[in-house]
Amino acid sequence: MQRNITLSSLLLMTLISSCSTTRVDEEVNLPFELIEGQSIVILSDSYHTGNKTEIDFMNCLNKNLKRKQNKFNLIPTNQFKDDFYPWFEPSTAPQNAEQLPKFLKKQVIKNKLENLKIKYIINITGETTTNSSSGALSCAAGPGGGGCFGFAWWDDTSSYSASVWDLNEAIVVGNVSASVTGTSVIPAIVIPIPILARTQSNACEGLSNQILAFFS
Amino acid sequence: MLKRYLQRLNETIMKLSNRIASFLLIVLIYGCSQSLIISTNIPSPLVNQVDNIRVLVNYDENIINYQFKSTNIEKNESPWEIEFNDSHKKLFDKILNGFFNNSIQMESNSEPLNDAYYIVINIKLDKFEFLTPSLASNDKYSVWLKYDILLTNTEHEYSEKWNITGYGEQETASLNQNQALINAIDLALRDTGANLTIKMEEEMESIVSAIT
Repeated sequence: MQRNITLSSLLLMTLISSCSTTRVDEEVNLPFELIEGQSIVILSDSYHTGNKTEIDFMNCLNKNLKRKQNKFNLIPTNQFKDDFYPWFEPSTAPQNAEQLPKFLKKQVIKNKLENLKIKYIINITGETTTNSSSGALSCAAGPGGGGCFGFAWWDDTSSYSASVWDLNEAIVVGNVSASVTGTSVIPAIVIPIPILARTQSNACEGLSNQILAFFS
Repeated sequence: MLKRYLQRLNETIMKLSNRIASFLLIVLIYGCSQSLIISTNIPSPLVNQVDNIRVLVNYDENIINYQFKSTNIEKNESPWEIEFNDSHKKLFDKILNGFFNNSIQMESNSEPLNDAYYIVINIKLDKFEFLTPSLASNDKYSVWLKYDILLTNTEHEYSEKWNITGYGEQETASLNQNQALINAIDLALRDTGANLTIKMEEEMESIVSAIT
């Protein structure tokens, strides 16, 4: 009996963990170096370009990069936007490295970047989308109690890429990306049991590890 | 006697039921309304300050204290009440104080000064509009702001009218709808500040030459 329960749990765990796949990629365009004490900031592409990177994802990335290293100083995204207001707002921020020289011409921006020792901007694009969903789940409640019955599932893809911009040279020194696909299911026999594929948090983990490996 | 008593009882029941019905109606209307309080914090702009320019700022009443109340546009849409307080004023104060170290807000009904050269800036909120996900059939809140800004000098030889706009959008994603709309308004206010800063930088030369 005990063995059956253990086997069932193992099978269930295998099923749950096999529900998502991760793909990471790295591309280095030019040689670069990050000296200890220099700063980095993470920004996301503007919604004016159609980008939909979620606030949660940016918060997760900031938190992970701050926690996992002490080589560089990470300036939190919101603090950076406030310090450089209004030059990194959705309508004013540079959308690619080619637009950086125009920004660096402004002496006030250049001075502030130098004061804060900001060497690189990591520009994030991507989002989490639901590709397909199916199944049916219905719940009902009455005086004698309630319950749910059915089975629903959906596929999520979290695909993000980070472009590393060198502020001194105004060029892209490299790109890293992480893409996670996963299937979430909710079987319900009286009680619904959600088995969720945490694609966004896995992509955050994958991308932050990629960024750290890039700078190591 | 009994007839009079029954009539009174009937009148009391009628009055009571009317009051209950009114109360329920109020609960139905206002119980579902969504109230938001905006307290956007705009940072000081990273710009070069211009010395020796005296600026008098005249804010319209809707900049000092603006409250938005929506009417039910669609049956499934709850009415919104948005209290901006002085968020608009704080935005313009921050931007103008970033550019001019000598800006003073004009008191209402005060006479303009005649003994000095200065620029008068009149600011008025022209439009505040927003779209909810149910109205736009998407999953984001979109906010638009439009302001009328009139700049004049003492002799009124210089007169410039600017239309400054701001746009902000926020995907609902994991946020609740109130927070998503607050974020979209914050972004629209910050965008207004960005557009005003850009316009100020473009026009600064003509502003300076208007009073010197």
